[in-house]
Amino acid sequence: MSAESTRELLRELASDLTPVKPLPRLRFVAAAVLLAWLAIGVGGIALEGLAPTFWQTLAVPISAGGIFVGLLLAGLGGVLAALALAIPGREPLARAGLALGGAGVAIAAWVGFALVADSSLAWRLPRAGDLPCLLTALVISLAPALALAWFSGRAAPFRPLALALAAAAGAAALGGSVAQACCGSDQAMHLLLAHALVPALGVFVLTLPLLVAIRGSERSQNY
Amino acid sequence: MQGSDGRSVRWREWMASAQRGDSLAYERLLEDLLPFVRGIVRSRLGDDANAEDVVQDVLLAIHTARHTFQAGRELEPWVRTIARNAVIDSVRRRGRQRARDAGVEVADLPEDPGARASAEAEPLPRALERALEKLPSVQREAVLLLKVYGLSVAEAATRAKTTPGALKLRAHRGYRLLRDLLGRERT
Repeated sequence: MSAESTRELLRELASDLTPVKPLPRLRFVAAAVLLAWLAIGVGGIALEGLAPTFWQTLAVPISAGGIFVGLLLAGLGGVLAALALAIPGREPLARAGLALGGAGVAIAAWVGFALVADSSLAWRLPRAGDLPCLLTALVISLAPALALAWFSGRAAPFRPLALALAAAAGAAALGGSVAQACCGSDQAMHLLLAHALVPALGVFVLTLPLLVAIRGSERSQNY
Repeated sequence: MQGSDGRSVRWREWMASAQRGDSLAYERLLEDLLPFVRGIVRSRLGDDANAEDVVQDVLLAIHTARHTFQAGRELEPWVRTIARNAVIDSVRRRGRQRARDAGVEVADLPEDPGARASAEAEPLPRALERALEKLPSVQREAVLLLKVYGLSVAEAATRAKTTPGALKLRAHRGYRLLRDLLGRERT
């Protein structure tokens, strides 16, 4: 294509211009996503009740409290990264979110594995007793995941796969933090499989639907 | 430094006006951005014959994503990300095209030129039909009006109840999507 046809396109774009409503600022969107999570999380805690030892464990690094803090950081970082990856030019914020989220995932996993290593329990796969906590985490993660998918579909994701991964891990971690706050179990293997590794479960379960939703919104942009 | 700062402020103001629908400010912005965009594209693609094609992709992407620019922020990083992605998309697309072409060369094409022609000609309309069905309706309409019914841009725009510029954009995006869909169909 020639430079002249580029000029022609430029003039057509200008003559075709219609007013657009700019996207809301990321801090407001992040607040909205986190409020949606908080509202559902508080509802969940009201229904299930806070774990009796929740506040005490927060002061002990290698405990359920450490996993909770890790999941919270992973959730906040994942949400931040996903939002920033939907807006061109926000790479520094995306990198900061990914670093925070990655640190959170690492902390949760490290605490989980440390708890198992300290116990005399044998390694096992997840079983029926782990399912309620995993399901609670996934159900609560749907609200932030849907909010992130909605926003991303209206923005201009420049790394859709990275965005979907960050959103999936972040939303699952936010859901997992609520499940962790409600769970009174001190069984190391349960804490690892049903709580500390929830971001990995989120990646397996939520990434593809989120990616499809983001791609679908991109394709349906009309003009 | 002063010039660069002045440029940044000017671009931000023009983009804010463009978001409110000021086409004059938008045209100035795009004209001012053109050398900047060409610089980014050429720094990555060199004197590639497709560079101008990618420059046009960047302009279309800027147009599509203009609502994502947030007032008060710098425009340069926003444009740079869009341009870089357009270049990456272009390189990937051509990589896929080369792989397909290489596949066609070594794959089992019929030896007989007549059979080869019919093998190439016959599946295309069905594949094209399927690909057309997958296009968003406004893009399908633009492609059909221009390429199947052979209307002029002005006639097609009147038929589609839109402006000629918008119709060309729809068609452009339709061709691009069709190319991707047909490419996937052939692999």
